[in-house]
Amino acid sequence: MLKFAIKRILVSIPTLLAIITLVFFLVHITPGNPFDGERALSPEALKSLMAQYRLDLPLWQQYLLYLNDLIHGSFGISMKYLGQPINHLLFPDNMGGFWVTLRLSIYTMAIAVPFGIICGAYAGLHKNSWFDKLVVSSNIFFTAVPTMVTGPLCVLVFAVTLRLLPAGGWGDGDIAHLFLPVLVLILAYTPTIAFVTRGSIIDVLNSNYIRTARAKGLPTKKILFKHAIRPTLLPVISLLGPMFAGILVGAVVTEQIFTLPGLGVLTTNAATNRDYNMIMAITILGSILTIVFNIIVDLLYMVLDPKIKQ
Amino acid sequence: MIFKTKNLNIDAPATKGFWRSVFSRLSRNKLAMASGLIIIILTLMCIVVPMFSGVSYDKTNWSEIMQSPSMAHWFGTDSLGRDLFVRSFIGGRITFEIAFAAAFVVLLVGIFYGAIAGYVGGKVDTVMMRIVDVLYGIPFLFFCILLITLFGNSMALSFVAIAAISWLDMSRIVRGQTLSIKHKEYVEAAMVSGVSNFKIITRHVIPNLLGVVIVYAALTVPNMIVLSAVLSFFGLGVTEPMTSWGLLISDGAQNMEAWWLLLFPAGLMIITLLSFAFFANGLRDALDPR
Repeated sequence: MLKFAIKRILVSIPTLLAIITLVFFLVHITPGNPFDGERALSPEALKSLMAQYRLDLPLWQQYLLYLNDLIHGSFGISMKYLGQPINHLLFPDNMGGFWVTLRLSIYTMAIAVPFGIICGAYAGLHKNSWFDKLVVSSNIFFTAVPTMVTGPLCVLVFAVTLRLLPAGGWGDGDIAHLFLPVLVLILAYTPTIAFVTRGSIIDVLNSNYIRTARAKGLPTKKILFKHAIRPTLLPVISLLGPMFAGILVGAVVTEQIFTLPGLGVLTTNAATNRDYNMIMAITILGSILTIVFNIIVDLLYMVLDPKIKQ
Repeated sequence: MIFKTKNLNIDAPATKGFWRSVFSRLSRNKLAMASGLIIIILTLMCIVVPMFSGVSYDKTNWSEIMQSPSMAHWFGTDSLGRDLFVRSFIGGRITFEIAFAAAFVVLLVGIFYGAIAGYVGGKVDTVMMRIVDVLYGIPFLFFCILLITLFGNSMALSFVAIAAISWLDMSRIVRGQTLSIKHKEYVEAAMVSGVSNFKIITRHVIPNLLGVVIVYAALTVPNMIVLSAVLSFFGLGVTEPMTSWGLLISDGAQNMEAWWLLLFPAGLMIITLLSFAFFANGLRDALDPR
């Protein structure tokens, strides 16, 4: 177990390094720099700025220094908010930046995963019931229609027409302000989880060892919770890896809809201000999270599936 | 003599061509056919409506600001008095243009990359697929925004950025298929008779991938629509006075008291996305009857 975990982590280091290298050279080989924009700078000012951001050094030195910064947990300095370390903007002391996005993602996962599994299992056990049909059709609808459409529609219904909830903003992170954004994200991801669980449990219940268990006369409850639950969860867990990256991006879009002060705002600002360091930091942070989450999912998979243990 | 019966079978009336039987299966699927029809109608309207409506999409009219839907303006007007009906369809035109162009690039890159990796195999395959794995590790939206930030914000570049990050799935699917085709007799026969690798890929491998590719193409177009719309939400891609569904929806989301600004573009987009989903499902069932 521990050996596998260590191996899995070691394997992902080259991937991460490749991503960082790709992003770094993409940004630095592209002609132009963020300071040749609107306001004309005096040559001296430009020179000192270039020096401050190490842009006057040879590329390979810049690259090694950037790697060195990353290893020490620093994403460098923002190019828009001059002199501000990016870490302060990404991980502020108060609520904001990454913490908002993380909180949205965690709430979504914490509700969507169990809820989706329960709904899917129920639908699979009652195949062709109205609930089963609801699960299947809502999967088609919510995989086709993205949060950027369902989000504003939810605001229109719950906030503007019914006046039940605030239309946006963070508030103090209270339930009223978080309800709609989290609802939109849950709506987007629960149906897929439910649909996969449904298919999986139908497959499992048709398998031979379940038939044997039934023939032995085991009570249904015992069959479900002792024999069926593990193999049913396997496809669901392998789904969660890519889904987490999706939720992260989905949370960022949702922040835009509900004007929450998370990674979304930082991304937009970075894009409009050509804040290269910031957008590099966000891309790399996203990649790290995706890779870490995939490792967690792989480990979970191994715990549940004895076949992989060797 | 035994071989003769085999020859006879080719002309037997019972055997229909593969594509003809696919089409007949598809035409029996009413939901898929209706969806296909809706896609065609919407595409035609996106072409025709802006041409013949008599009002330009960027014609501002200060005396008709924020009017709710009426006979004069079927979808109402926006905060600059522009007709939303015309804007919805010109936006649809841009959205479709970006989506189809990006989907085309995705297919082209994905097919060639996957087919080459799968066909050549060995070290080349390992390296090419490792590259795909690495790119998979990057959250697509951030990478897309990074590309647009670097190369400037324009419509053409936004679609290149979208395409640049979306061919990964396609290449994986094509590679898997190619691996199985590679060991079929007709490919081995071509190899033995000395046909060049490039020719085998273009003449034998890629045509036999068509089924999978068509289904995936039908799924790629709506994905591209969504991605370009999401970029609009971040103020990237299409810029005013030109518009797209994403831009119209984000506009509508900022003017909630004028419900029509949100409801009509969002409705059009939902109809389009669902139609593509049902059509792709129908295609998959028709191509692969189990």
